[in-house]
Amino acid sequence: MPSRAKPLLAVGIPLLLFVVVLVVGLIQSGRDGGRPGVNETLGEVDVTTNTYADFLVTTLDGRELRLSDLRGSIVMVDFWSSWCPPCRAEAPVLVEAYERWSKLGVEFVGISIWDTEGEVRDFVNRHGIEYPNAVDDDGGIAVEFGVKGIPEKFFVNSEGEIVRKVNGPNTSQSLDEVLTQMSDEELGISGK
Amino acid sequence: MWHLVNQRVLAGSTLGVWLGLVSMLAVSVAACVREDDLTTDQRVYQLSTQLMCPVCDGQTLDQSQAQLSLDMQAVIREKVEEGDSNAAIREYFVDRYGEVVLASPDAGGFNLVAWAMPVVIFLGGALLVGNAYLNMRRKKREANAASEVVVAARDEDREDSVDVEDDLEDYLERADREIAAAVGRPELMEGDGKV
Repeated sequence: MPSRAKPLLAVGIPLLLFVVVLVVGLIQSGRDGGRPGVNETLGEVDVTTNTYADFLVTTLDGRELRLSDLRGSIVMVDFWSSWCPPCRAEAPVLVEAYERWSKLGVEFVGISIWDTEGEVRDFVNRHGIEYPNAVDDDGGIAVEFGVKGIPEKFFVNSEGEIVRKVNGPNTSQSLDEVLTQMSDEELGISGK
Repeated sequence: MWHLVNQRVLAGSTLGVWLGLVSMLAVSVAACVREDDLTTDQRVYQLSTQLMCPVCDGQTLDQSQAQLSLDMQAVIREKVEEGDSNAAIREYFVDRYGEVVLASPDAGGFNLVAWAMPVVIFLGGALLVGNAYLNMRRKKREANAASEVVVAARDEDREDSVDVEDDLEDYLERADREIAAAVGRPELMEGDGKV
């Protein structure tokens, strides 16, 4: 290598890298200042949270509810918000699914996040939601579960372990599929 | 030869190496500030700069106004007040949001590459610059030495030409004398001494 080229490379390569990093950084920072939290990754995803995450909430009807107290049942925990369009679209599906699955011992719990109690009550009454719902006032439960957007659902088996997670709204069919598979696993029926 | 070259390169890069070491020392000293020496607010801020907002593009918690970031900062405060260490709090968020929640990767395993690369690039650059500087100095020295040789040779030539003129004059005088003696006319040696 010509000796004249060495200083050029010594200065040029780090400078080039610096400029590339700067440009990428500028493009990245200018793109988005933070979304309100509607999920963009839809469908079933890996469970990344503590698989025995727990919470204690006061439901809208004034009862204290602890997730771990529901051990022995399959539980679907839904993180949602009254202002979230996919959550509004999904509400009738959940109402109908709860009606069927609660008869089989499956519990649904709704945790409303980034919301106000008044809006949540209106929403629950409007859609005739019968399963327990609570407001996560400080967002602590959402963080504990590693929630990034809404709606997000966590499926807990009868031993209290979070085994599945679904991002985005469900159809009646997709919800039935997950709950059927979990029920089959509980009963020792293979075929997942 | 190579030994000498290597020595020169290393010697020339001393400044760069020292700068690198001083930088690393400064970072180490900054990292050695004990958590206990900081107030709760300072620790919350410190951790907020070390954790990324999971729903933002390239923003740490302290830079983001997303509701999730604010919730995460509230959880950080709660955990700091409960006496959790910074490492434990970082681990808590990694467990929930994955490694991507860390603003800088942990210095372990493959992540060490990310920490080592800036130092390697810096030292490599310093070596190249030092090498180039030494080459420039060596070439300048060689050029000076070459010009000194040329001047010395020129002086020598000048002295040589004076000697030749003296020798020629002696030779001509001797030739005149011998010719005059040979032709038997010594008077010719008088006057300007030329035949």
